[in-house]
Amino acid sequence: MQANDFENEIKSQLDEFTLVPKEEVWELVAARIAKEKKRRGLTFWFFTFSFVAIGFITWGIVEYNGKKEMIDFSPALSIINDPNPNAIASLVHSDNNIDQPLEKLPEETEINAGKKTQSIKKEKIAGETRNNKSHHNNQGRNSFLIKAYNKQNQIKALAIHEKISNAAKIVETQRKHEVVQKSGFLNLKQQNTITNEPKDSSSNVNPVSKEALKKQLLSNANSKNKSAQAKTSKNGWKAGITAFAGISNNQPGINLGGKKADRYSAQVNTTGGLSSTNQKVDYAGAFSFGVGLFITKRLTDKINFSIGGDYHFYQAISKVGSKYNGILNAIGPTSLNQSIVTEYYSFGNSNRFSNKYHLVEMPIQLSFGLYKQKKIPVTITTSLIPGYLFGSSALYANANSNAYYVEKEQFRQFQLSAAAGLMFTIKNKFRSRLSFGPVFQYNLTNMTKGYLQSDQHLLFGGIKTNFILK
Amino acid sequence: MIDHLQLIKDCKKGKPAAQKELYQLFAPQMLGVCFRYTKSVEDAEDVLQEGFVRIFKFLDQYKGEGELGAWIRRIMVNTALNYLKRSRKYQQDLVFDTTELIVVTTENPEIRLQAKELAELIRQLPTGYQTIFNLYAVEGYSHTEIGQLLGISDSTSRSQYMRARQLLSTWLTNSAGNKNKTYASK
Repeated sequence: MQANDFENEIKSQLDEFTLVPKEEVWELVAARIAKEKKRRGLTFWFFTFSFVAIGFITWGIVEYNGKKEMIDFSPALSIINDPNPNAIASLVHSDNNIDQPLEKLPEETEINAGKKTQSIKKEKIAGETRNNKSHHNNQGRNSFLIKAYNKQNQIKALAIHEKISNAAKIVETQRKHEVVQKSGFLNLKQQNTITNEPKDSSSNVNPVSKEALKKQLLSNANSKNKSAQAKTSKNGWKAGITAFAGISNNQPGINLGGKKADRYSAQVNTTGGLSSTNQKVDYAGAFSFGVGLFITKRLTDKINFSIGGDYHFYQAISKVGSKYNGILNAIGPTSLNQSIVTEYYSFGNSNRFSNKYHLVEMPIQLSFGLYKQKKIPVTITTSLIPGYLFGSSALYANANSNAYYVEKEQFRQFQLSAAAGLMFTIKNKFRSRLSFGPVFQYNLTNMTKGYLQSDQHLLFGGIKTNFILK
Repeated sequence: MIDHLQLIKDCKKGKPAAQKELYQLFAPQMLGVCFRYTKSVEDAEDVLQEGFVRIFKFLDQYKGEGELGAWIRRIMVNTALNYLKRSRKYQQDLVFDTTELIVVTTENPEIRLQAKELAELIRQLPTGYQTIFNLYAVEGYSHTEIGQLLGISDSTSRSQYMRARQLLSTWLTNSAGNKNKTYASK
């Protein structure tokens, strides 16, 4: 037998060697597959639910704060618009407290009916004048009452106004009767006309007064609501959208005096005899962008707080060698994991590879107003940004295999970044606000897992735009 | 091959029936592989389980290039290697002596054993020898590849293999007259 025949013989014999596993093995495999599937499903639904929940909460907060300050004038307006005068009358009579303002209306009782020598014409003119005067007084009182309107007393106030009008009418009619009786010049037709006046229920409500009140009420409602909106817009939660674009890179950590890890991919020595070799990776900046939603609230005159959710796409370019398609037996960074690699790159500088990172971030931001009085106010922003790395196509440099390949296991999922920037704000006629300015973001946590002894921090610099909705 | 592609397609969709079919198709052969790298059937079944979980997890990476059986076998071998390194039981035994071996004989004994007996004999080797012997003689890896896989030098791999081969040759020669003899590696 030749030297290689031994190996060939062994190989041919053992290639055919099979053993039947126990049935439980498949059950365990199936259970683990199902668990993995469930875990992925849970992750998906967690993020979906989180986004939907943030959206609803944002919407809810904005809506609630908007409505909280609004005064609802619709009941009063509906009564005004009601063609049946009994609707008002029933309100007037159903509430004894409403009678009190009527007793305190000296103007209406001061109508002077003592000019007994005047003609009916003159009396009529005088009566109209007084009626107008009475109306004028009523309107003055109305404005006072409307100023005092709120949710509880607006209908009452409306009813008071109506009662005042009716009282004035009745007094005026009584006065006319007195004049007619004393002058003796009134014919039957005129008498009937005058006598019938108070009986006409529709005339109890002065149409001019009703329209004026309606206008005033609407005007007050609008002004109240406007002021409420203004108040809300100043102090309440507001929603906005954000977008940013710029350059991102993968940087080694900032050396703060402690031991600084190199940005290497390293093999850890184990009892299995793995050697420790490093391969340095250099990255270059590449395009990066992000979009998101946020809600913001004014804390003080100068400080605003905001929180939101962003999707942030980072990129960094690294140089690699030739690309290979095939299976690489890549032992992972430690003995605890392995990589099944079907596509990889050799070490070298002949090609450029774009390392992509997909993160969901939750920026928690404080903004400080610097030049608030200027036409374009300037704010300085600082943020802490927890993030979750949910996808990456970044290469891992495996020095033992002399290859780069995509290795998702190398990264930590949860990241923490800090950001700072300047924002210039433009207000427009729609009362929405557009802010823009430079922003700088740095990943405080090391992207890679500790045992890799690799120091990778994502960096982003670019322009950010915030659009705060009305 | 066409059937395999359809099967893989269904497995990628997560169909349990297809997954079970794939398992049943390759499990006996793969358990044979796992058996050679471990010291007990229970350990071999653990590796098989772990290996199939990884196969289904990484099945998306199989593009249909190359034989499916070979792809699965490589995953299984990698899983077995990791299992050896991870398991305390094997860790201490998985030490590679880096001293060069002077090969004094290239004797090739006649192999008269059945596959299972041969596999049993290989399992009697110290774990380090066993691993390298399996990788080189059975899987067909080069010493450079074995060096990369295990994080050792090519020469260490070569030296370890020659020791394993010599030991196995001796046992095979002895076993020619007595098949039922138990070989102790201790």
